[in-house]
Amino acid sequence: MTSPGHRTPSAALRLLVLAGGAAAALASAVIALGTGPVHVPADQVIEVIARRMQLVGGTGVSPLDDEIVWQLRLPRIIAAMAVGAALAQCGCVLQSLTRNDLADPYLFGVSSGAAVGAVAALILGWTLPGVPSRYGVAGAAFVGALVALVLVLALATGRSGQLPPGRTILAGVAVGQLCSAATSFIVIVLGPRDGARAVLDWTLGSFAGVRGGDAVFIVVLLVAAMIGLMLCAPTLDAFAFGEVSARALGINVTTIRWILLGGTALVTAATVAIVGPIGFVGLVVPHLVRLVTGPGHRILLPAAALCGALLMLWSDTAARSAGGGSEIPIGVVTAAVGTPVLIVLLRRQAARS
Amino acid sequence: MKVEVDRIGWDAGGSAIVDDVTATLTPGSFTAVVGPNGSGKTTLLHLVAGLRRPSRGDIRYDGKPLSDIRSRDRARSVALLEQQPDTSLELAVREVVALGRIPHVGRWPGARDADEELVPAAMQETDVTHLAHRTWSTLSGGERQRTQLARALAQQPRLLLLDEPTNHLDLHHQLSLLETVSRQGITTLAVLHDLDLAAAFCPQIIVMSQGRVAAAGDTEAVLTADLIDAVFGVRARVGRTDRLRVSWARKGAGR
Repeated sequence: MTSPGHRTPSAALRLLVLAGGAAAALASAVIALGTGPVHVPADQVIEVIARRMQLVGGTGVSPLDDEIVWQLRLPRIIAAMAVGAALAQCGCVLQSLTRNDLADPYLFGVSSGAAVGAVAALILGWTLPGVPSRYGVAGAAFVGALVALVLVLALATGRSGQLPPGRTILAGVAVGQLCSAATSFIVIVLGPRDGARAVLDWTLGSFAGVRGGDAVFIVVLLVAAMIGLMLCAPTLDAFAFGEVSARALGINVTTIRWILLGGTALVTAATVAIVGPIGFVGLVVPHLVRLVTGPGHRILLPAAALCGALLMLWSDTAARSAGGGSEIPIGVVTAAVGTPVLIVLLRRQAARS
Repeated sequence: MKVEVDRIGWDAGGSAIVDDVTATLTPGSFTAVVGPNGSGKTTLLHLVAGLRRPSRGDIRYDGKPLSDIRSRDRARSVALLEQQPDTSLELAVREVVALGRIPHVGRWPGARDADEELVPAAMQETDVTHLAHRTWSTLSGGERQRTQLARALAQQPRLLLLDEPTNHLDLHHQLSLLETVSRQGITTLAVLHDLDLAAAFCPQIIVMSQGRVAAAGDTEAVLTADLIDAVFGVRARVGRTDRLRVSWARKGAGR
């Protein structure tokens, strides 16, 4: 520790954490691109990518390696990292705004709402003419998530437009329960006998169907969200001592809550529509990263993004390569990793109090 | 900063919590707000801070209506020390004090605070420099209050609003906190429970009762035994020795 008169070490620590995280993310991506039923060595992976980016002639690249790395694995890996980064940051924002350690991106019934939409599309076969069923399910999930979000906001909003976190969480629980009931009704009463399996697969999430277009869409969304959140970092810091204190520091609390709660819900809804709800990343990563970086959002947000990306990438890599022939649902992997971490954090906190 | 409060009122649930309050804070003055529990002291403080919009009446900072001032600009000149502020985050003392710079620093990542040295200066002023790297949860009540006061000073306020700043502090820390505040020469409005502390530190006083001003003005003139009896229902003795002193007698005991 430096003495109080000196610069605090946070600037150096910040660089170190972010540089380390970025290096780990790049290395992990290269390894993950080579991992799978067909192993591709790291130097081949790098050459495939360099050739595609027209950095090298790449005469040594075989068409098979190119197809596996660039067309099959890269979209999936980029999507996994981007979704992980997005969910982890949404978790940070929601935990800060609601001052609730248990807040996660699915707090406001977004995932349950999306489930109703997805199940309706899967079971009842609601599709738009001319749209592939894959996009039909994603679209229906997104609409379901939006409807749930609007319901939650309508229930929670006060007379003069405030959005108190306590009431918002309760409204989220109420709408979530309602949506679960609707999902079960569709599956059990209206659906065919084997419909439950398809629905269960959807609710545990998967990156298996991700195509290049999806990956680009998620990356664009992530970049927009990151820029917006970096601008909001000092604002989020101002919530440390609660709402009154944030107001006294010049924050328009109601406006900020609407923008950030709405924004994170939309980002979450978009990810749920494409890869389904994937638990634990948005809940656990913020807690884990805070242990290293402290609670300041200027470092917490980018560090959580890197950590979320890493966790999701390795979970997905495990999901697609550990189960032998068939994939393990990624929700099972993130729960298996996330729950012990959560328990350790909980016991640490219990031991301190 | 000069603060004019002009016949303000604030309603909640159909009844007036604060009603028809008029007061003027002259630049550099130190004014106490006293009154029984539920007499609207904290609400008045929040109204003056601009955290709530009055249902009636106007507040002006240096002649400018508070409703015309943007919240970020307001936070650059007004700091509030809340009652018992708390957080579950593992913030270091220095980080808490640095929160006071938020209204002054640009939003873009990497934006530098031109007056970065104000944070250590404020910590020096309230004697928390040696605690810079201690986290909030490890601080005692007095250390927390001094940290929050440093945060408020780092805001460079021209109006300082304190809500029961001496609560849960021992006698030494009560005195040193109020001495630090008086020393700043900033226009200050402080909700206090201890009438003797108010008499010792605040030349001006506002006595609240049931949301209204029961009396206001120079403390020496306003704070009388009869007023204390009427507002608090306590028989007290108010006298001058080296300074204005308020002492109280147990109910039923002779004067």
